[in-house]
Amino acid sequence: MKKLFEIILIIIVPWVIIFWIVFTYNGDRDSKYFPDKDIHVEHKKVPVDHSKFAILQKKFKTPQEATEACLSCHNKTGKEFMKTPHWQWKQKDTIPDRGVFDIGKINILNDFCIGVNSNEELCNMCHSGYGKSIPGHFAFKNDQNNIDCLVCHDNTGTYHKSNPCKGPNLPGAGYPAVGTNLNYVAQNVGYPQKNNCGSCHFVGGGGNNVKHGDLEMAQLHCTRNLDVHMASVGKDAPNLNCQDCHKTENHNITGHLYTVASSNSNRATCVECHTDKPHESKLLNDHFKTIACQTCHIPVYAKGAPTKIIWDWSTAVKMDKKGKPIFDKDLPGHTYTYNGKVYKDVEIQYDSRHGTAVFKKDVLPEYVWFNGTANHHLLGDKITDTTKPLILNPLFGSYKDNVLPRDPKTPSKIWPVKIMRGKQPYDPVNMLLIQPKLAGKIKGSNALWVDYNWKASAKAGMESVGLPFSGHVGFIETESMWLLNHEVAPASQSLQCAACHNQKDSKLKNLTGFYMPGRDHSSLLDNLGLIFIILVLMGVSVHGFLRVISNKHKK
Amino acid sequence: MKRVLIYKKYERFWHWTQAALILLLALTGFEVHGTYHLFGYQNAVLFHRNLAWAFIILIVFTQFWNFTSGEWKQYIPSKKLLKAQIEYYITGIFRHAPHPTRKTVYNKFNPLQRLTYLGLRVLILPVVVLSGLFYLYFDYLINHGYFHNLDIIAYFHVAGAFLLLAFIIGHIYLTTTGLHPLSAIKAMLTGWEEMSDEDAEIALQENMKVALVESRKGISGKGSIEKDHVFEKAFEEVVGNLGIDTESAKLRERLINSNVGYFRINKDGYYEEVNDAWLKLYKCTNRDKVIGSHVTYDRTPEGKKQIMKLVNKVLSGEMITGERVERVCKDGTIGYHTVSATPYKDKDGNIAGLEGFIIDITPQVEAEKALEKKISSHQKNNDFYKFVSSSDDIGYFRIDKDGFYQEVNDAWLKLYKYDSKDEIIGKHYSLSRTKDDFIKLEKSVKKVLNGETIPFGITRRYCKDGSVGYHTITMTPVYENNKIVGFEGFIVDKTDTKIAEEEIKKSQV
Repeated sequence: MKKLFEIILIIIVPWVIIFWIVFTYNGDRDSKYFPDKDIHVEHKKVPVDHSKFAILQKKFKTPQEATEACLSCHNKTGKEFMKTPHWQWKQKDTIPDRGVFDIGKINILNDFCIGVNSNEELCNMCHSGYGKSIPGHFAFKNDQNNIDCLVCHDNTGTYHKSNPCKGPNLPGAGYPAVGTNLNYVAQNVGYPQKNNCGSCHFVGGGGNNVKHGDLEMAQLHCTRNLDVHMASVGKDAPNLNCQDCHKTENHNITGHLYTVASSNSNRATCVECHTDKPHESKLLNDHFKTIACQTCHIPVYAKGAPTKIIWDWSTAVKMDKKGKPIFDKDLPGHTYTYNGKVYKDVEIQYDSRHGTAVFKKDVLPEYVWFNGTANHHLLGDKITDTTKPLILNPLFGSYKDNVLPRDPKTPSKIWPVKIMRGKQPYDPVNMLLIQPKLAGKIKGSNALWVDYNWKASAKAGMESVGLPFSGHVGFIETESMWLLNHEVAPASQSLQCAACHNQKDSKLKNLTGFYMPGRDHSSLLDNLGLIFIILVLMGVSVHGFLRVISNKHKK
Repeated sequence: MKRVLIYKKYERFWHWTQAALILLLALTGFEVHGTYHLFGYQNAVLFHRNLAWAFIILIVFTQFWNFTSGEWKQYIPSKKLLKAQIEYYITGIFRHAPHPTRKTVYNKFNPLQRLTYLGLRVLILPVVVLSGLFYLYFDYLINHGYFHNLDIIAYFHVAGAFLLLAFIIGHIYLTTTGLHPLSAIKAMLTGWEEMSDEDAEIALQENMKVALVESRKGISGKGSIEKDHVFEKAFEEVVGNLGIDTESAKLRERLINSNVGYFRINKDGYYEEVNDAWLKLYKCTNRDKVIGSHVTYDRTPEGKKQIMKLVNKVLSGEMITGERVERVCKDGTIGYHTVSATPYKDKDGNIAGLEGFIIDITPQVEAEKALEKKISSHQKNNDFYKFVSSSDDIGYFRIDKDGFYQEVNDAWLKLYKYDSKDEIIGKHYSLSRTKDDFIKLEKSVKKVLNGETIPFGITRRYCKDGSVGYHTITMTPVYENNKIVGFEGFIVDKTDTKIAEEEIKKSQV
């Protein structure tokens, strides 16, 4: 009895105490934890009633008259706005180790509709102005009455820009659609709403969610499951506007998209609201040094509409059996093999104007190291290597930025990206990416989408940017990197530890050059260890067996 | 079959806590490594951290315990019988040969265990703990640019984990090689190990043998001039030989016949056996009167309390070594001795009583008390001089500040084997020391000349005839007009302990 009591006292009681502490004590609570409830967002309303202003009662014959009316009161806003990238479609930005450039649609080609030069008639429907840019110079007509105030400040939802390709005799180059009541819109202006920004940014690349993958019409009306910030439906929907994060002052909007920007500046970041200590767990907050918030909190994108993940221009300009062009034809099958990799659950479309396009919904991001800076394959840059895909906007960063020792100025973090892949035209003689002329209405205008002639299209397009064209069109594999920032999932759906800390199927399996607990191991060491353990087990088994035998013999 | 006390309470607490910690560390650790999914990765990481801190705290406490209790000596590797132990596991165990070594409370580990546990302590555990700390604070290492190869840290940690795991498998298997398959585990739980009668007898005596050495250290007092160097060595010699010598079965017999007082008391506190030396120390003549009497019989009320406390301590399963106690002799005089005792058990595993031995320290304690009195009465008490000059056991000396003998008494001359005072007075004290011992003593003398009193310490003397003896020495400064003019003190020979020591040495041959 005493013996049992002693065992309980010496062994069991300490066990209970120690293991109760070990399994309940949370030593991981971050004392600097900043909870969500401390974040406050206010939505201001315009302090005046624009419908009472006499100048807005006057019947506007042209949209420029409406702008003139706006600027008659907001008399400094015109000059202010014309300095912004939304007007200029370019901005001064530094590419590390290359220098300062005007970067924007002026000199950047993508792997969607490639570039705006020579296609301004169509592309300008997303310019916040009226009329075309001056060909070859890409400087918008410097008349401040050409600013399109209403596309951003329309609060009625009735203002749309004309799509000149949708029919003959439609207003072109950024003008409002036929039948727009300019007075009604002007009398009901206010701060931009989601649909104002979305009218361009949701439909980049030619349709809903085609380009970004994380910006789509569904965000106008969604639950937290699709986007915790922009949700307007359901419980705890914060219904944020774009400017709540993309803070705006004097028409300068924060936010840097690295397909048209390169320096680590002017970014709209999570930490502005959430701080860098948003988790109760210090262990999770420590991940902030090497993992972008987005990596765990955007486990999947294109949750509403499918996004385009592959665009193969090389198959364009094929006609059907009757010699007629094919428009938007869904191809059978839901798997697509590109560059040796099989993409499942995809939708494949063929269009004689565009070639083959592959769309996918609920896409899993890919992951890259990124230190906040990017390079660009600018218009006129020579292609040096055709054996591997040309990356149009290589993101800088690697694990090495974080060691030897960690440089706090340019930390590299693991980011989720949409990688857009495709084949696009290039000049194999001059080794230049080709700016084709795509959009046009008139046959014989050399526009690809009318004439279906690559050489003519390339010649016209390259002429418009002042670059040589050899007369040969080839196709080169390209990739562009779209860092994901939107469609943040509710906390409960964010990636869990084992998604990455996992030997078999780590999401970060493609990122090498560093040791990651749970993912990495030395096979040699593990196998040696296992063999060692097995040998020891075998040794004691044999030894024990022999002892049993020898005991029997003795008896 | 008998049971012998092997493991102390702290040891049992520590062993089982560490066992559970290591198993849970392995379980969570290999999940963090990515080998399987069990707790969930985040839980595994957090549990592993908390377990690691608990483990580190336990290690710190245990190392502290090991050093303060002297248990660390049990990890000193010994080549002796290592081969025999290995051969036993390879062949002997199948032939039912006897274990080449025996477990005692002072020598728990066989040479193979010593080597393994030492390796565990100085190699594997430090590697695992240090690599674990580097792993935990890897961010700090990176930020300060010290180190950035987490893979190397992780490989060390994982390799250590495999080795620990292998150790545990072997360790658990080897627990089955005791008297019965579960004997060793039972012993680790209860502290008492089942052994065959023969083994138990030997183990018990070995426990006592070491207790004797410990006891001898107790006699030497706490402050020691040579830091117990001589006896430390003797102790290590004994420990090194422990569990080896089957001859030592006769130790108890020798103890009983020696000048060391031997006694055995049953669990109710009545004497069952005492030897002649015991009777002599207590100045009793009739053995029959003592046997059957209670241990508290004829003691002062304070002495009763003290002795019962010790008896109860031993009866509860602990061991005492070198406790100083006061005794009231048959003739009413008061004496002092150290007592060492160990419990013994009957066949059913219940404690049946205790046995042990006493070593007289009366002259020493009396001299100590006289000196204390002298010091506390500011040099004016002459009782000390009266006491030492009249004593046959205590050698008195006075040396001037330059190190020359001014006065010695007859007992001193006897111990140093001089014929008359003239041979030594006026001579330097280095004459009575070997060269090495002189250098050691010189430091102590300097301290005394600075006003310190050095209580009992063991030192070695160099006698006239060239032989070497051992005695305790106590030194205190001599003042004249508030100036230190020299030092004086007394020495007590260690004849009684020497007898015991020689007994042990004989038994080891």
